[in-house]
Amino acid sequence: MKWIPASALVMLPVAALVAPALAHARINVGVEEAQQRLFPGQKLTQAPVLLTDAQRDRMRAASSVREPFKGERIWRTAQGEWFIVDEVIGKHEMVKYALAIGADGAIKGIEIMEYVESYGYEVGEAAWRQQFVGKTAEAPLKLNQDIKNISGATLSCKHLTDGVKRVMVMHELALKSQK
Amino acid sequence: MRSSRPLLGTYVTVSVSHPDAALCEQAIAAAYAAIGRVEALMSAFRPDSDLDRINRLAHREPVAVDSWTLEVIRAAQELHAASGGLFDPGVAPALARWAMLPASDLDYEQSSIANLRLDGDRVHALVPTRIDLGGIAKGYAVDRAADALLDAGVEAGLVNAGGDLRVVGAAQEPIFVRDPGDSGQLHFAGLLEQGAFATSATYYSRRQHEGREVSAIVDPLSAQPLLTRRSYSVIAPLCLHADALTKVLALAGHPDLPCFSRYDAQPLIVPSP
Repeated sequence: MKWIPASALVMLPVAALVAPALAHARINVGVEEAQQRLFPGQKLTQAPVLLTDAQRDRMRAASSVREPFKGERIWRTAQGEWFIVDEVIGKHEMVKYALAIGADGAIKGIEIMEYVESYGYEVGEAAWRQQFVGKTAEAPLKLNQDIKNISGATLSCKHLTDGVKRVMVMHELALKSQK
Repeated sequence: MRSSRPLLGTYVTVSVSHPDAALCEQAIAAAYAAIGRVEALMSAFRPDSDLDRINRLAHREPVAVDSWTLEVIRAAQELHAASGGLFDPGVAPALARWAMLPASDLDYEQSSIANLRLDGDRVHALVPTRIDLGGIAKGYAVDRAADALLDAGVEAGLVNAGGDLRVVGAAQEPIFVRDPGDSGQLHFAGLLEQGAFATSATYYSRRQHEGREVSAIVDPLSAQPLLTRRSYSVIAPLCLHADALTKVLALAGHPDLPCFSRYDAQPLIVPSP
């Protein structure tokens, strides 16, 4: 092992000069892999949903997400749990993620599926994503309220949080009644 | 060649250099396979992993586990003894109380890694014991992935699992640490060759739970969460040791600990502004 320490560690901020190791990373996880991570060993069947204009209006009002929601990317387990793929804008690029919702209407987990921005990968950290687990459509799901921000990744945090809120409202309006 | 994947509850980046692109691809695939194997054996979130079976069953009957799991438990017990008890994966019940690990209906009153007895490939617990290998298995996974890169014949390589990293081969890697007061800001820490670097801090795991602040770093002696705003890094030949020793450094709060020289480790504390 050879370690050459920087002489004046704290005096030398480099965020602007050198991209961190993560800067060139690119997350790309397929639907099946995300399903296995959120529902290990379970069989999921696709369960697309058609949303009415009124439902879409309520989803937009509750979340301020404007991108169209694609109702065909929904799957369910035999136990009435849901796996939903959605996309929101990160800072410049789209972030694709998957949300798992239990039969009780509470979030079971969230996985980032596609992330191509240069910064803001911290939204993939388990500790940040863990904040969503257990929340229902009744939770505020608002950044800096019940979801903690990560400095340096604010836009990705904000848009993902809004996206999750929208999916939860959609679940409440269109999926929860399907038993 | 560089590639990144979500594993171990974070993003793992593997980069390798070798003129042969096919060799690079094989090396990266082998590295991810090694990490996936560690995760399958030792994740706290996988039912029926070795870890889960130890926690549920080992106080009732010996539990047969994989040789990799045994290796991590042995190293954890050694680190526990060398650190005077400051490193103890037996703090899992506290993490579960703070909703950082799944709840359990078993009563773990005296949980400690020291309760485990190894016999061949079997683990037995003297009393109900719940361990969380989150503080060491990530480093171990990085080591196994780094070994896979070397076995594949790369000239140089880097495995980085959310800041727990190891550099192998002929590369000298610049290492950056996050500013504990502003985790979006990075500081240049130094250059590393053929070694590992790991960091622990509470900037991502700190949260409010039932009216009090908690974090993922638990003092095994008091069962209280660590709440300082500093970050604690350790440089060592193996990432497994670096990873575990960051917790020892964080809990001790000072770098003058005899166990660092034992593991050829160097501590680095970054103060918050």
